[in-house]
Amino acid sequence: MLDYTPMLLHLDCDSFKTVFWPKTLQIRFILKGLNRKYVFIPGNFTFPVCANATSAAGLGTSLSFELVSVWYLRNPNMNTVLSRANSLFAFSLSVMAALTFGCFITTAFKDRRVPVDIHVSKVMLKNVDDFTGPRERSDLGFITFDLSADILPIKPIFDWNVKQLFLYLSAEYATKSNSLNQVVLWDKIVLRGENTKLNLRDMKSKYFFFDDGNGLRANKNITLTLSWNVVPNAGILPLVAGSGHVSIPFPETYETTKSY
Amino acid sequence: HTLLPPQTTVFQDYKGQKLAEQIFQGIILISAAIGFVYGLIIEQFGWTVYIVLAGFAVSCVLTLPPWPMFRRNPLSWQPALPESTAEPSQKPQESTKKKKHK
Repeated sequence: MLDYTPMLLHLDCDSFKTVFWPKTLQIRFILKGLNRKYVFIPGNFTFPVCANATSAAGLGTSLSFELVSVWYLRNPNMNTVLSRANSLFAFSLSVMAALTFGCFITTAFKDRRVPVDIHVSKVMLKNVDDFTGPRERSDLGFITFDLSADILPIKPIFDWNVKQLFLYLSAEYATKSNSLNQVVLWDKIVLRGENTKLNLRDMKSKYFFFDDGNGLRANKNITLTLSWNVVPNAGILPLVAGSGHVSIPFPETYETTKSY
Repeated sequence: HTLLPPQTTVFQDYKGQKLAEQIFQGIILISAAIGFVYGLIIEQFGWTVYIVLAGFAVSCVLTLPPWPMFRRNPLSWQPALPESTAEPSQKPQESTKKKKHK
């Protein structure tokens, strides 16, 4: 079919100087007369030449061709300022992620319980219209309490993985209709840097102490517990129960509302 | 119509790139270690972040611009060919496209 004759061609580069032709680059030409693309490396080249009947070139004669275009093939490892900046930034982010994980690991297994002292000074009970429940009237309790806790013991609770604390006081009791009721009465956010000694006197509950029914009256045992969430910088949020709790009974009678 | 060399003026050479990468990796790791220990001691993670950011800034200044220390091993170029006075056997190229392939 086609006759391939290898030829040695010394490229006559008059219209194009090989000054800037480093040893590691390649230069690619399109030889229009031969209708092919070739890649040349500096030095002597050999490439197959298709000699057919219509071609004027043959073995031993000079080959006429036209240099159409030149590509510089750049070494793929040559980087730019942007690519360096990209790799530097990505590396820094990975290192930062590893540090954050290390921060989490150093505090993940820490015991965060703190002794808490709760004292209830006043308990009152009312039976009021309850528009949120299925029945007409429900029990509503009012509690006034004192709270004191020293949350900065020898090992500080605000270690480097703590952003803030979320404290809440919850009441837990059992009634005839429900075996377990838990109601949150009061909460507080303690930010980092704030006073860590809790000493609250005569606090009123923030939220209504509604019962699902009428089970608060003459209830012997309502347990108030202070619990908290530790909001960390990195990792899971531990939920800790304070180690102090107090049980109070509720009165037998309803308070009559005083009208003023 | 000489062809300009592809970007020989503002880039680090290969050994320089390797050196730059080693430099910034070392700086970031050292600042990370210092920051971790310091934050652990004073119980504030914010300081760890600040120290790593400072290390990042130092690395930027040291490795991003093509300082001379990164250009100490330049590529060796071929010597220039002498000017040819004979008539060219082929027509001069019509277009010279410079394309960079990565």
